[in-house]
Amino acid sequence: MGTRKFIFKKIIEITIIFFVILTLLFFLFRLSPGSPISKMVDPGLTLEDQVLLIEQLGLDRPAFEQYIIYLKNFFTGNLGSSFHYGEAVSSIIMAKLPWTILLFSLSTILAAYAGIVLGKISAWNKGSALDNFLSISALICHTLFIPWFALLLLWVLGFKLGWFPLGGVLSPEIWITGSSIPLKILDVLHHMFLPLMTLFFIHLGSYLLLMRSSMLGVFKEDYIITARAKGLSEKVIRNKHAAKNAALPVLTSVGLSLAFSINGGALTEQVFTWPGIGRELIFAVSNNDYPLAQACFLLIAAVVLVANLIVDLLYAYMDPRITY
Amino acid sequence: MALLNVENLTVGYKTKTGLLKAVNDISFSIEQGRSLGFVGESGCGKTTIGMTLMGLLPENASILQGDIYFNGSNLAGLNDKQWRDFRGREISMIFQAAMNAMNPVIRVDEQIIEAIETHNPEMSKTDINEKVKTLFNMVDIPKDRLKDYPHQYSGGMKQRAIIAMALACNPRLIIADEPTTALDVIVQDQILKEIKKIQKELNTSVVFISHDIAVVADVCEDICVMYGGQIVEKGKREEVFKCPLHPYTKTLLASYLSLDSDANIKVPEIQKAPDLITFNGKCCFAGSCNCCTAKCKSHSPGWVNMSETHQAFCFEDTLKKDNNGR
Amino acid sequence: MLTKAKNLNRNGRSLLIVFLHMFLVILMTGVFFSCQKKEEVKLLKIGLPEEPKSLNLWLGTDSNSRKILSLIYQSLYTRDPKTLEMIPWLAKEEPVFDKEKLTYTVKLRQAKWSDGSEFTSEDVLFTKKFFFDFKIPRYYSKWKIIKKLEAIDEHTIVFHLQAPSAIFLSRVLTAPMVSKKEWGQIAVEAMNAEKPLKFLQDHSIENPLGTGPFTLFEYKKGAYLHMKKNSHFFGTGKTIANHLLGPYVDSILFKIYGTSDVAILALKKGDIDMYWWDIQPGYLEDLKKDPNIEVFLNKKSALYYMGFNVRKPPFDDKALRQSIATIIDKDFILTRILQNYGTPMYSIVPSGNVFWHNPNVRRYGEGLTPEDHIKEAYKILKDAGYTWETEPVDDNGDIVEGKGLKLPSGKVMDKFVILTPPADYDPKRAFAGVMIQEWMRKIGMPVSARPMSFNSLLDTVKGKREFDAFILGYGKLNLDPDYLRPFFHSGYNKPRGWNMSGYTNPVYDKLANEQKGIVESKERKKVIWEMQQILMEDVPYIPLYNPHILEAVSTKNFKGWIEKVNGIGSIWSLCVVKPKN
Repeated sequence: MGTRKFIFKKIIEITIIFFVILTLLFFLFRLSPGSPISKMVDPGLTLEDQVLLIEQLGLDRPAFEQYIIYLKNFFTGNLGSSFHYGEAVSSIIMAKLPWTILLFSLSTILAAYAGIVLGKISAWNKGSALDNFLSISALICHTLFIPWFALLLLWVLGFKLGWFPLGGVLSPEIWITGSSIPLKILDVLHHMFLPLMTLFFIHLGSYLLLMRSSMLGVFKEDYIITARAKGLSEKVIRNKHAAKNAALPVLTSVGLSLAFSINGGALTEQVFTWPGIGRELIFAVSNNDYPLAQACFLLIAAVVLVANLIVDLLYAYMDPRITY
Repeated sequence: MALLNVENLTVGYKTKTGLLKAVNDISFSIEQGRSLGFVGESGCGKTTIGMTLMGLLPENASILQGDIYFNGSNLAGLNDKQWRDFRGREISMIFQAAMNAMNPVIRVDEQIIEAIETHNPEMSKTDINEKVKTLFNMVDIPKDRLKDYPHQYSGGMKQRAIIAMALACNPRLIIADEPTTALDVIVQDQILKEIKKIQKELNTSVVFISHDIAVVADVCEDICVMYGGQIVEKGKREEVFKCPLHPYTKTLLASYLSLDSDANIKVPEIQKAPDLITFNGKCCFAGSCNCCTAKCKSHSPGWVNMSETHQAFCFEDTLKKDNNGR
Repeated sequence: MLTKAKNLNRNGRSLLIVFLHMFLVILMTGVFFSCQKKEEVKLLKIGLPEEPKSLNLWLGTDSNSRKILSLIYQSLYTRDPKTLEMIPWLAKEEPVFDKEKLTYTVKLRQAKWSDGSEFTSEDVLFTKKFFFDFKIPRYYSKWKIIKKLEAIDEHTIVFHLQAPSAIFLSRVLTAPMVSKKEWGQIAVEAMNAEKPLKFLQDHSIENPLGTGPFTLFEYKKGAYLHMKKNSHFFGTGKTIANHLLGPYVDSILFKIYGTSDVAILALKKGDIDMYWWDIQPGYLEDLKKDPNIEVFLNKKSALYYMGFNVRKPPFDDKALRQSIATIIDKDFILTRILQNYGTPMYSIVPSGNVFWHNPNVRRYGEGLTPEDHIKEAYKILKDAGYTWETEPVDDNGDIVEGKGLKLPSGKVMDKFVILTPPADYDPKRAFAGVMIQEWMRKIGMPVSARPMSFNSLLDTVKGKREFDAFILGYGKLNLDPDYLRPFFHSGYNKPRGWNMSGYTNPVYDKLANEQKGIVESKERKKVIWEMQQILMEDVPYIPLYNPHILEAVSTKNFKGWIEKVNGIGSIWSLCVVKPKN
């Protein structure tokens, strides 16, 4: 009962926060210098053409009126039309979002899993050569400069060795010759490998280090001595008793880090030409494409809010001491 | 043959300032089915004895000398694998429940099951569950609380669960380290009764460690009084209590206020803690003893026997002096 | 200790095994795929730097969209790739101009749309009505000059103009023709919509009808664009502009690459046959070494310049502008910033535009030594009444560090700012700004070059119009010099107008309006040349440089790229490029 009520309360909270963010974003964008029209450098466009375009794009109405219209449209699923593409923003997002979600969720899950396992091993063997190696590697991964690392992977594995494609999400050569579905799926996986590896290594570092320090803290707990006193094997103590407790703060961190991983994802998407939301966001902001940029930021906000809700619930599920 | 026979055991800790002898050349023994209490103030080494008997000494501690004969094996020479076999099965420990002794994210019954499983891999699941139920019965925890998490238990219930966990594999020896500290007196009483009952039923030996002499007196048939890493007096419960020999024992008993004594309550001064590193070749109590002689400060004491079972670690003359002084 | 080591090995091992499996599977697929690539030699693969903004003809104004659209929609006339003259394309021959009636009679070629239907005058009429009904940006403003358009027969049309227009052929008849069949119904729906133009722009067609050499077969957003040869293309088998047109490739695959680095790797690897974008000179050395890569260098019809706010003193003083024009060392810019890949500019019309470019204008700083640059600039200022705290040329005629320039009025010159795009957007302009700042400081001008984000820069200069000077450029200048009019005519001196400097000269205005109506090109040339003369005397803009366009192709599978102004990427190349075997 408590959990249901909690979820309900949280959803209301999230919704309110979401709309506050929506409003803030709307007005923040309007205040930024430079307008979409200024981006049209073509001398072919006469003055009258420009005035016409402003009118068409609704940029001549007062800000507040634009806001009300925006809200109205939002509830009908109409997020406006992108200035740059001319298409409905919602359709652009629908087309790109799945790719980002695919890449992100897989890399986060893999990185969290590997980080927890390796952090566990590293902490268990504190001070050993393996621990030093893992800790230092994790630190390096954590501070890697993403575009450089992405390009490096691409150059070595894609160009020099030729094992992987140089970006993109699929090989058109395969798709235009009408290949089977399993082949197409394999093709996408083949393309996803490098960007996945990039994001994986970038995130692995922080998860590993976090798990490691969490484990080290857990080692000092009394129930570890109890477990030893029972005569349990080292592996059982490490995995069942220590890791289970140590993994909890790591999970929270995964949820929180989602927000920050979005910009890392954008850079990775750019280098690998992965057609996701991250790239769109970069373009939209530099082109002052209000509707698209706004929608992208809203999306990020929504993702972060929902992710945190899920983390809260997951935490309650995993730690019996927490109840709502 | 005694179940446990400890001879000249010395355990030291490597610290920044030097080697700290937490336990210095002690010897004692327990028969199967009997209970031995270790009593003394904090830092006297009693917990270290418990840890040594379980092989749970921290990284910087080690057995410097001595043997621990337990049921034919010398515990002082066991490796990791052998210890894992011993722990929980032959010797088990009851911890303070007030500590985080149980894993908060695992159900209570599961924690007991794993104690059983790990030493009885062939046992079937149903048999294990039956055993758990029996254990809980023994410690008086209602069956419907089996699947709860530790934080849902009260202090007393947690302690009982820990006791159940220690009993899971029918060990020969149980080491109880301050099991009733931090429990209120009523619960404390229940727990002590529980321990006594179990000991009788299962004929288990118990090493009972506490700073509270009254508790030790309640449960243990034999008592060792410790100070500064050494046993200063050992004997049967009645012997030690009715006629304490060692000046420290006397001080300890005197500081315990009795409700029915209308004598002048004399609270002794706070004793200076013994220096466990630098002292050697003299009595460890020499600094605080009120009948200390020159000999005490320059010679190591020896065992003075009062009876077959009752001894004190002192000098004859000093003891006489002390007795005369009263 | 040993047991601990064994434990971690087990875990580490299981993880490693999982990863190894993944790796092997993907490696095998990689090998498998690379085997697949051997066939399909008649598939031309082209890399693009960005996704086309939109394939809607009315919205896709960015260069990448235009690349695709230019292969689908064709115009009545186009430019010869070599001579740059207007030649008939969808039209059959030169138009017949009637001077008195102000009409152009155009005969149409026998051409078909990609679905096999005939291209007729109906389509031309429809296109004209379309432009007018919806006031299509870019086209309506040019077509406005058409009073009436009539179809004599299926393949003959007559344009009636309101006034003589010099740019009729080059700007009006180069508009794309659309199919009445395809857009007719859409037009009707759009007229009833609340925002008709928006309706048109939102409307997307999956396989648009076109008269060009290729049709859009499939557009997988974010992944690729697949175009197929148009079997009905009117140019196939004909010799136009001295080229025997194909196309000789069955399909074109456009792939997107997010960064130049990756695109060039793809070129080297053979993933693409051509990268349709400008390459930075830094890559050249590496590319030249590769035997499978051919590099092309072509001129651009572009203008990169420094502009002044002529409305704001002291930049209203011609002498000041002239002296700044003198102090700028264009050779330095050419060798150091462009690394010799380009030409310095001495007029607003690029020198490559041979017919219209006036080489006899005042050419500031040409051929001077660094000292002479300073001396001449100093002289201009001195003669105009400027003074200094410390003159940059002392009494002995030696160069010293000039300080504290004072206006003829005696007032010390205020600090001013040259706005440039940021270095990551365009390193050339940003660096040029820094160099110009240094040169100007040598003669005592209190100036600093400031990079500003491109959007803000445009807004400040064009929108708010609060600035001192700026460095901007036009990457693709039309080959017809009519742009001299909106750039400098006083009528365009308003917010968002193209006359960013605020130049006002009634003599110039008159000439600018005049040239618009001179149909005879030789006559018109005289006016255009005079306009350039005036401009280079008054220098509201100082033309700086015109970079070459560097492009690279892979020579493994295809050959026959046509070099022309603005690069090898054009409909001509794509109609002529052949597989190597």
